[in-house]
Amino acid sequence: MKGILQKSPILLVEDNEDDILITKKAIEKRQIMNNLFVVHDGQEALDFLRRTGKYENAPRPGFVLLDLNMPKLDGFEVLKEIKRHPELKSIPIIILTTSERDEDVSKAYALGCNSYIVKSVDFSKFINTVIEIRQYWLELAEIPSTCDSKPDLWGNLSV
Amino acid sequence: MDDDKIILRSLQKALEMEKYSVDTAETGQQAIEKLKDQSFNLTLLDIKLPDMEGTELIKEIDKIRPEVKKIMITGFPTIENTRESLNAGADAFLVKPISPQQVLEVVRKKVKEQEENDNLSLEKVKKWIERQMDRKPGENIANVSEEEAKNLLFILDYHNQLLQEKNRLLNQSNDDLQNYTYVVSHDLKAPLRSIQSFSTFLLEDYSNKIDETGQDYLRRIVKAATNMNELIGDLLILSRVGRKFTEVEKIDLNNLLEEIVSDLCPTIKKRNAEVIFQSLPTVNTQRIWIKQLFMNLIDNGLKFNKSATPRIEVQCKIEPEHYLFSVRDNGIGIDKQYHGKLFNLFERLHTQEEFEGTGAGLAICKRIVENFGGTIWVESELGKGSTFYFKIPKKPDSQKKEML
Repeated sequence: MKGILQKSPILLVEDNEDDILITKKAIEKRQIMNNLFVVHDGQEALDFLRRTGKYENAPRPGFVLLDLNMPKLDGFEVLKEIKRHPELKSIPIIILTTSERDEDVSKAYALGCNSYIVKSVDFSKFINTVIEIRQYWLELAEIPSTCDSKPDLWGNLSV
Repeated sequence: MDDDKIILRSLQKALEMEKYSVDTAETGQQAIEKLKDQSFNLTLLDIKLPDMEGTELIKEIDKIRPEVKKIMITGFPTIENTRESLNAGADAFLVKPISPQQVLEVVRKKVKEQEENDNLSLEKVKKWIERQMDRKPGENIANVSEEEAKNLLFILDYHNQLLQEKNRLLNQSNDDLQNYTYVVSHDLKAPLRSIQSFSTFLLEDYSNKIDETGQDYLRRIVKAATNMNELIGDLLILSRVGRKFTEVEKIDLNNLLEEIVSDLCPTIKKRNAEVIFQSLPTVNTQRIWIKQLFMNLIDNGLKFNKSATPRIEVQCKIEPEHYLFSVRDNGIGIDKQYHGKLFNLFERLHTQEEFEGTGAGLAICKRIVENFGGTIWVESELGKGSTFYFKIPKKPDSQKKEML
């Protein structure tokens, strides 16, 4: 249902502290009310989404902003894992990176990312990027609404 | 080959530090076994080994691998054993105690000799080929004996392999270099983003705590970061030319130019400019690069232009094998003395205040045209406008392979 995800939290997967601050600032400046959760590497991202370990009570995000270059598990591996997971694969994954490499773009789409966006160096442009991503994925796009469901229910739904 | 393990190890280390690959043997028999398995450029051997005389070993080596250079090392030099070693076929003779430097020097010299030898046989092949090229039609192909021909073929084959290997290495280092530019450019963007963003935060959120001079400095930082971002962007484009794989397609240049004019529309309107073209051909080429090429040239014509009505004219002359394009403007023109420098990377003839830009645009044009297998040049005089010409082959297969 369109718009039902408007208040969904956003998950940011990013290892660079500066980039985390910049993204937080962008959200704060434009008064985006969605909760922003931050994890610092690929493994943490998977733990968060699968609700394992310390993320037992983590919410299901409306979308994920995923960086590519990260320690431990990189963005591609996280993407691959999410997209083959029956309950998680419908979460929109937006690759947010500085890399414009053709190889990276192709690989990310081949692995099933929903958008690939290059971080702008210019902050005012970056703010607009964040706003537009939010607006598109949480207000405009139709996405299966499973945000209030329990994990076991998603399991049943996917069977 | 040496029975003294310490000498063996220290020599091995010294040689390996110079990037030679080294294998060792402690007895003559071991050495023979190793030589049967693989070839070496050069062997260093002691005159006295536990199981045989060094001179004996030299003869054995000659039987297995006659091409291998042999350097004899001895602790007790006498006229006798020196002569014996040389007679047996040693290529050089060293006396203990020997420093690794000494060995290195001889090894370098011998390896160089061997390379020169290779070149020598290459000379021979070249001469033979030249002779064959000179022969009159109908004349017998081989003016050489069967033995010689076999030899030459062998050498030719050997050099072919060498050439292929060198080619492979060259391609690899080329790829590495391009990848390097690509990766470095991206890695530079991340810190730049921090500089740009945090300076912006200071300006926006802390302006009441920073005085006017401080704010001026911050604005300069933001501007410098923005400029650097443009430079990196241009470097990225440059490293992509010839690297980015795109299909060759039929492109109607009239449509392409219309597209460019529409992209440049805000500038064209603002400057009260016009871009003129008519009946341009349809060419087989790569869309993104031909577009980038025309875009840069037209953009330059508009930018370096102080006329009240800037005018850019694109024309094409169709030659038997080539297209000759010209992009003419009524701009400020370029003094003849700068025509040569113009296509260099980051070459700027004006200050940022006069005309903005990174100075990479024409370098990118040149790279694109050259990758198409063509040439680019300019005709211009100061104050009289400029005309950029480029000539590209009609057939895309005569465009450089890596573009396809």
